[in-house]
Amino acid sequence: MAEEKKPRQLATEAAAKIPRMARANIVATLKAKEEGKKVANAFIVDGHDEIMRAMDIVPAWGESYSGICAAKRDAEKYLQKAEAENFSRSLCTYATCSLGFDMWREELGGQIPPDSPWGGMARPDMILGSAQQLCDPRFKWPQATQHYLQDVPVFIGSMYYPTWDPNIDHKDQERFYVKYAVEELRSAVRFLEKHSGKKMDWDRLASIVDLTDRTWNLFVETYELRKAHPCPMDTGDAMNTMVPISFMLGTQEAYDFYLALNTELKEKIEAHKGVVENEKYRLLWGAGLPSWFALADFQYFNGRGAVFPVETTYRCCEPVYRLDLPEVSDPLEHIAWRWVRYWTHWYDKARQRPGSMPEVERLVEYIEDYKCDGVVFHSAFSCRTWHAGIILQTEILKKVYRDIPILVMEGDIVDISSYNEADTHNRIDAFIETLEAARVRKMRG
Amino acid sequence: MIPCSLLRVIDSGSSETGADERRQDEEIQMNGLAMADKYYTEYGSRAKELKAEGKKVIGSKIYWPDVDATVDPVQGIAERYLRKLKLPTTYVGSGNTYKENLEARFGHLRQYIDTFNVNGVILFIYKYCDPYGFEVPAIKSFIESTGVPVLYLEDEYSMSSLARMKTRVEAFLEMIA
Repeated sequence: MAEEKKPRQLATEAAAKIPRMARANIVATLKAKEEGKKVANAFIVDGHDEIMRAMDIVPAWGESYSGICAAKRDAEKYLQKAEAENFSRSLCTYATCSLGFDMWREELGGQIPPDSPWGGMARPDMILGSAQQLCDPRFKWPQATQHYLQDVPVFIGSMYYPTWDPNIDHKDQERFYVKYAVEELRSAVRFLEKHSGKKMDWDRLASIVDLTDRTWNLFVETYELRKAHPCPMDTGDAMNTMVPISFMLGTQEAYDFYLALNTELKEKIEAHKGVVENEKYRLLWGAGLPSWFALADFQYFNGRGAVFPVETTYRCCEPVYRLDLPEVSDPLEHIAWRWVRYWTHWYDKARQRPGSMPEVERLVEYIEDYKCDGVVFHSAFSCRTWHAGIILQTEILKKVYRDIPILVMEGDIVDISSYNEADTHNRIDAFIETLEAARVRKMRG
Repeated sequence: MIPCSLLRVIDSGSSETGADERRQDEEIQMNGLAMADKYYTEYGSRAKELKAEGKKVIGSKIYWPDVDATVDPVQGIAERYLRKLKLPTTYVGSGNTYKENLEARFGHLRQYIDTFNVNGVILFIYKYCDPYGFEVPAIKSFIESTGVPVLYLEDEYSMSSLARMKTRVEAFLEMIA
């Protein structure tokens, strides 16, 4: 039975709309079946969003559904199901939660398992995998799912970007990566055309790509309003307001959401309304997916005068006018350039600071721009790809920038057994003391 | 730590690892990642006591596929890495059906089982290894479909669990002996 949990207090009206939107994404997969539309298991930040939207394919986001199950503290039954099938508890719990749900639905002949959060997700008609763009699990998860949904076709594409090397000019390499990515995207289109029976409307795709560009611009411009003092919105809200940019990219609804958020933040700034009444510490959420079952920890920070005006998590975009993208007529090539340049646009900056690296330059940029006093990371035990690099980032940050207070929290994204609230709050309290000591030192000069 | 593939070379006392090296005695196949040398010694000695095991077929998939002679040598090397090596981190597989895809990804295991008269397979996976970990149910059922029993072990890079692992291997060897 799901454990009862206090509702999170939201700072923005926009964030309060998110549960409805996230739920609508889940329900859309079930409705699609009634309407005869095709449903594809899909992954965020993989360049397929606009292609799916242009072909009226309804995405079923396993990462989202696992996060929702975790936030409702109702994921354990699916994790256990996957574990019983020999999927280790150490594997990505987004994946194992989703696999457990898929297995259960198959056992019930396609019926949604009883008491599934928000009515469950529909059986996919295809799986659009995401290779190693971000992590190993997104390469293996589709294959593992197909073991239980053997009639469902799988496509695994990949879009890489030049590896960071301070001694190599990545600009010479970018065009090779773009060429490769375009071919992969073209293969994805062919796969979807074959299994949906529908041809790509290239004009429609171009229009959706343009909408995405504008959404990227608006998203970052809106988030940059959080530089204001006091901060009008923090990371606790951003873990909600990421839903449109992550799961609804290429839709007018996503663009309109950030337009409304932009207006709301400007009003808050005008009225000097901050997330906390007496803002004492400004923090950067440096890296890591959150513990979805413990989002209230952001309020715990808030209660101690700390606010997060910026985070790297789910900010997988940059205004396109800052990326110096070449003019191209092929929308797939535009997606590829946008993808590669998003990753490489910190490379030049990192090269100018000996010993630095792009991920650290990004942290430095945010610390400076948002006037942060400390950095908080979350290391999730089941997510190696991102979280394994956290300690390296903290060490390099201190070495090439300054000795800024850092807290590395430990837990997981979905598996609540990894979490100890009392211990987490004790660590936050100790970190607040460190921030206060640093503040006093700074005041004394 | 030493890679399983090298262990096989050491074990056979030869630098040759050709597929035609047919064994007539009973064999255990070990699949998975690099294993601690201590594990190998322990498994091997206990297996000999039980007279259930002769040689191991481990990790050799890395070394068996050759680079084809191509006009551009780099093309040949790339083909070998991406298409001939069936590594879970890079190999997607092919085929129009799931069955065909499994054959493309794991068919070499069936070949090893036949070639070396394998009586049992130990699937050894390191905790936290996503590429191998996500393949466990598929690879286990694929091997079992050949009629050969599988022992799935998960462990860390640590000696602390050695006794527990030994017990499980012993039970498995007794089961197939």
